[in-house]
Amino acid sequence: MPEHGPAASNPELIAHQLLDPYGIEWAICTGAIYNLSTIGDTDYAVALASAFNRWLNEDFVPRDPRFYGVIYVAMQDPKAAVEEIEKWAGHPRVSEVFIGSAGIAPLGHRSFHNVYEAAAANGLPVAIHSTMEGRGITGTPTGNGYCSRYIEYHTGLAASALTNVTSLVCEGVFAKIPDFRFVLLEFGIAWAQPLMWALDREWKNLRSEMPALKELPSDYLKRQLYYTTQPIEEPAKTADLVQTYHAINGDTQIMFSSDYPHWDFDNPTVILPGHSNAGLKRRILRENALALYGQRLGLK
Amino acid sequence: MSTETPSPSTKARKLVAAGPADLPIGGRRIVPVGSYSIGVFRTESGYHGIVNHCPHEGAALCRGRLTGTNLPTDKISHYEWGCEGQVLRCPWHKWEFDLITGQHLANPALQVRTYRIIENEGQLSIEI
Repeated sequence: MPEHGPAASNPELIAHQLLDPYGIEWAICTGAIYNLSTIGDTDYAVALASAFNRWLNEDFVPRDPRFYGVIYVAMQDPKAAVEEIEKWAGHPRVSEVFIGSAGIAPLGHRSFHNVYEAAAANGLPVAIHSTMEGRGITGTPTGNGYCSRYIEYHTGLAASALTNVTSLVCEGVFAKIPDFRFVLLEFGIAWAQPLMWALDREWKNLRSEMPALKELPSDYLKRQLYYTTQPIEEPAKTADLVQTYHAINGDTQIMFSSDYPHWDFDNPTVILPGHSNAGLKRRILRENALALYGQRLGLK
Repeated sequence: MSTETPSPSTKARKLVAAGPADLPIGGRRIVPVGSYSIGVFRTESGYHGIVNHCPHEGAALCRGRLTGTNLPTDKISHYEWGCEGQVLRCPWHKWEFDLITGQHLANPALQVRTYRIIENEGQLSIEI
């Protein structure tokens, strides 16, 4: 057993440190090229995505039956992104399409719609992971410029999710592509409740700007937007967190994420409210992911 | 005690005078009725009455623009203007109401009260 070496540096160590002790049945490996969308050289970004997908899905994932892969695509070239999705969509261990959370435009921009349509047509959710905001060709890390401390940056990532989700709603992506499913990793969750309140209010005022929206914005989000837990918010009263989870339809839309091997990893055995909320906890830890990915991956 | 059952047509109703029938097409008049008021609008399809109160935050709804709107569509970046002259937009937050039915265009659960307008010998009255 490889007791030493950097965390996640080989499949056996991942099993030893993460999968075995926490009873993890399925692990979607999201890899380490979140920076894809920050790269200015589009040809390089496209080539990097292609090479990484080959290594992840053909070399790494087969080394443990609990591993599942993703399809990274470079949104700087939507046509190449669609081709990359088509290339990998038939792979039985590929779970979703992965794109950068920050790039040259908010993610609802019409130039990206073909990518989302290709993902949905192949039964693949689209996922993003935070922390490339402000790097490379992206804008400043916050709408107001640069932060001094990591805590400012990391806490403020909720604003990035807020921008992207609002863009996806208002540019009509959810309405246009009913099978489009969007997954957020490492953006927090609790901000979604006031966002829904605000979007619904704005829509009642400004519906005519977005005639493609036939329902309340929150109705689309409660069906098509998925959240992951890490870093889980920790209010003084756990009941407040449970209230928020229910308000955003967390019963079906929230899934556990570990962030392993990062320092702010969440332990699935202790983070979620248990006992009186055992059903919700079970859905977050297992059943919601099974519902989203299970059919495609043959999980039970 | 009478044993006669009132028929629906004789159900108690009240007519409120709403001024002469000289409104131009597209014109309006706001008629005070006790503690509230009713907007009387004339469109190509006739006279229409609607309560002068937005259920959102209480603005004088009938002071808003009578306009059209971008019709619901399945296409992104497709704007089809329609219902011209039939959409009453609240002057405060731009909530859109169908003048004839009182239906809010974004919220199926919300409808404001509308009134039948009767024209008789050059005079209008509101049935309330």
